[in-house]
Amino acid sequence: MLEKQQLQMILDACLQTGGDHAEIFEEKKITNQYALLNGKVDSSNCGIVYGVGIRIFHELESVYAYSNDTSMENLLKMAKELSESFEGNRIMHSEELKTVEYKRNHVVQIEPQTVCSADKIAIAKKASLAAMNYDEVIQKVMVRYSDEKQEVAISNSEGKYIQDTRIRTRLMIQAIAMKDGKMETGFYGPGASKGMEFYDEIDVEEAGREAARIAKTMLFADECPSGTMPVIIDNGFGGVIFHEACGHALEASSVAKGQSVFCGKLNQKIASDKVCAVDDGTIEHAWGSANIDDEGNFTRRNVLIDHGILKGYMVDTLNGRRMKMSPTGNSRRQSYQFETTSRMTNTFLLEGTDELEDMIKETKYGLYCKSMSGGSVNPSTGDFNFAVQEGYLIQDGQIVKPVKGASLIGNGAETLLNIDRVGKNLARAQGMCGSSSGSIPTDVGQPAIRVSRMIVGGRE
Amino acid sequence: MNVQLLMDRAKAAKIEAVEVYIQRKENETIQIYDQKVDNFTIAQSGGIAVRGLYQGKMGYCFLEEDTDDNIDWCIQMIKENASSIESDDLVKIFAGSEQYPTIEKRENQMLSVPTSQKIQFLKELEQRVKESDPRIEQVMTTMMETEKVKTELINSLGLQLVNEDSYCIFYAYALAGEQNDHKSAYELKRLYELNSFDMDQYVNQLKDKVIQKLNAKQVKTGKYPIIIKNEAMSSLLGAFTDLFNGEQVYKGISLLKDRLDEMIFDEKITIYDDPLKADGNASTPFDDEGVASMKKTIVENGQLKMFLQNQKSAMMMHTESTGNGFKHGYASQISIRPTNFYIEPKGSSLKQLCEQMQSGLIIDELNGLHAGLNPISTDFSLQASGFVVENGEIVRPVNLITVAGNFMEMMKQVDGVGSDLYEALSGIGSPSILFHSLAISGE
Repeated sequence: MLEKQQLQMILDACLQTGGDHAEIFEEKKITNQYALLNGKVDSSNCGIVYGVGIRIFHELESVYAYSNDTSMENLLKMAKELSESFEGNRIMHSEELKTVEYKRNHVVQIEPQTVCSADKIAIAKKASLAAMNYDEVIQKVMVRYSDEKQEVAISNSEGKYIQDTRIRTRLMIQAIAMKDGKMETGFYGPGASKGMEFYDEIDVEEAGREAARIAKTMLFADECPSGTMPVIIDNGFGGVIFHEACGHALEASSVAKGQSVFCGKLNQKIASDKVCAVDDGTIEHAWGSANIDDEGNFTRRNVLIDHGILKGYMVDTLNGRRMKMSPTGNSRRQSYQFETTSRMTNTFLLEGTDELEDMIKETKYGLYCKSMSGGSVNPSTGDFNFAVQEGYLIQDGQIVKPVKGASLIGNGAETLLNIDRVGKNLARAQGMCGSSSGSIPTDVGQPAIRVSRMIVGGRE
Repeated sequence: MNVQLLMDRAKAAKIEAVEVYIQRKENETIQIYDQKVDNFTIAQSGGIAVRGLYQGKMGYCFLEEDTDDNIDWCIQMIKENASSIESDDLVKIFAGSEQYPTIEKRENQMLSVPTSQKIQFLKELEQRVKESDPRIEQVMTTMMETEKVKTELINSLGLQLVNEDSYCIFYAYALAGEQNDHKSAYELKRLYELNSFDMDQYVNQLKDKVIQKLNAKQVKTGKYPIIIKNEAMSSLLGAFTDLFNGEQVYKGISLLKDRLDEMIFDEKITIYDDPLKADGNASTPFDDEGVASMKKTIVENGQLKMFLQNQKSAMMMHTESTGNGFKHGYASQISIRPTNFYIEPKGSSLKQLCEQMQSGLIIDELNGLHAGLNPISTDFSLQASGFVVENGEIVRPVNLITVAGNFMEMMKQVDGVGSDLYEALSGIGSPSILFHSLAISGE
């Protein structure tokens, strides 16, 4: 890693043409991956990601450069080239860098790098076998084990120098059920900001069986009917609805320039009274947590919606300047190859007072979604979509049969107002979120909720 | 990294064959917002991927920190990763093809255009889009990206290949509003030089694209004849190319397993994979394993003719590599990917397809392709928008509907194939296609 003295020289060089803030993000990340097909290791890969990103602000303008040639000569050349984007005279010098000391959270017990590949593969095998043995229709099981250790050092012209280490591990299981030429899949992928102790805490075999159970259920499911109807979305990954319908549109990268449907709605009602939502990057060991964000701000718990009223956005420094708001610890990026911007961390709806059983009982005709896949949104229009992994048809207050192939679509601004039940069984689940600053780990979450009307797209 | 030193040490460490893949990129991205440079990024990046054959298995690793200090780590990782492989799949490192093709490429003059001139171009473009219609509230981003890539492939069997490529793309992303309705659209183009660019045409095309979507409404749930427009059809085709992936076939995950020479699609459908296409977005003289590129007919008049193969899948299926062994960036392992993979256009214009359809829908945008479809069963249900067609004419825009079907089934029920081939940046291409009937969910 670069020395403070070197960093300060680069930061100072960044400011020679009138820049008012400079920042250096240095990263080293070690990754390990093993992929298994039907319990046998099919491929294994590991690598080292290493590089530096330099950013300069000039009021609302931002310029960025990155490289994996981290020689002083090259970094100073980059700083000079970048600063030449501005045509003014120096207005400030970089402050002396002082290390910000803090108490680290999310400390792991067993670093993945201290564990041999055979032990990691054994975990993936356990999940594979459990999935394969679940039922004879489970014909293929793909399991992917991955871990990473990312070390970052962030310094800026205000004299901040702060470091963080992020260790994550995840097991992703995909089961394929086959019969009579038909194939359906089930996916389950638990992960955390933890070391190898994570696999002692979760039931790895149960995770395998869960993927297999979903695949088998969907193999014997009928096609989902189409139309507008009430939809009950269960906890955990069901929270992807909030992530798409609202979360992205509350990121400052959309809000700052008036490109979000929720612009200018602070302290206004945007959701039904039952909706309370937070983004919390501090949750101990959660998949989307870290001590600091990628600008070196401490992560925190941000209330987004309180009983239907919009309370806050997720703000990074640059967009914060445009919005005249302070950063909220949400600035994130995939790696040094991406300029950091406002993103979600662990974003979820809080518990309500309703029971899932009652929601089903009170629904005459509708869809119950037990688990979801991913989705996407256009924050400027609010139109979003996401896919149902495991759905069931409800008739006269009862679950009657599993249905497959459904996706749910809607408009975020409308859908939030149509959430008429919020349950008590809050749970979070892990995902990868892709946006302008790359693909990053995020948690979604919620208790079971009911949306009074949504467009269900099926094939019948 | 000293590649020769790596190869020598690998040999000494009993690694039977070793291959080094080196990629270097230079990239410049400019974003304009509200007549200001909102973002400017310059990058030099790259990495080295090393793979080696050790005791009959392939071990991989990659790194970005380019020093000789990492050579021993590389060798250790190759051995460790190779030793962990339990699959009996055959693997090899390739000594090279006899000849390599040359690809006709237009000179990319954008590499020598100064940044200031690009900024000026983008500012003018933003201004023109903004002023093209009072309903255009803002241009959310106007961006240009110029990239130069150099790829080298060197192995211990004597192969030594270099390929240099570059591109320049740009787009303007417009937001239009009328009363409470907002719609956005962008138009991405590849640019070779600034002088011959027709800005009027671009601005009009983008303006029409976004304004036409305003005040869209749903249609009633039901089955409709549907034209999937070229751009949307390319993205749908792109989501299902793994059907033709040799590895998915021998692993039994593709529905096309054991179906070679069968009629899998309507006879109006012919699909090529052509890495030699002049100026093709995915053109390349060789794949990431060093196999010379060739044009292939994958589906001919509905009949399945061949699968895409890399070295490993070809050995498993007792055939030859088709030159489709590619990485997703240097960090990834070799998998199988199409190049310029496209459905052959036929004679009908979009207007003629509408006349043929009489009543139905045009779908020009599909969303959520990463989630709303099952690449294995080929079922899909996707957020869509487009237009209602009555009596062969477009009558109004439609949005917030889903279109659902099964890709294998729908490709058997093709009523017409358009002449308007669209080639996505990925190389995947398709003309507009008229399908007999698909399920729409709306009101």
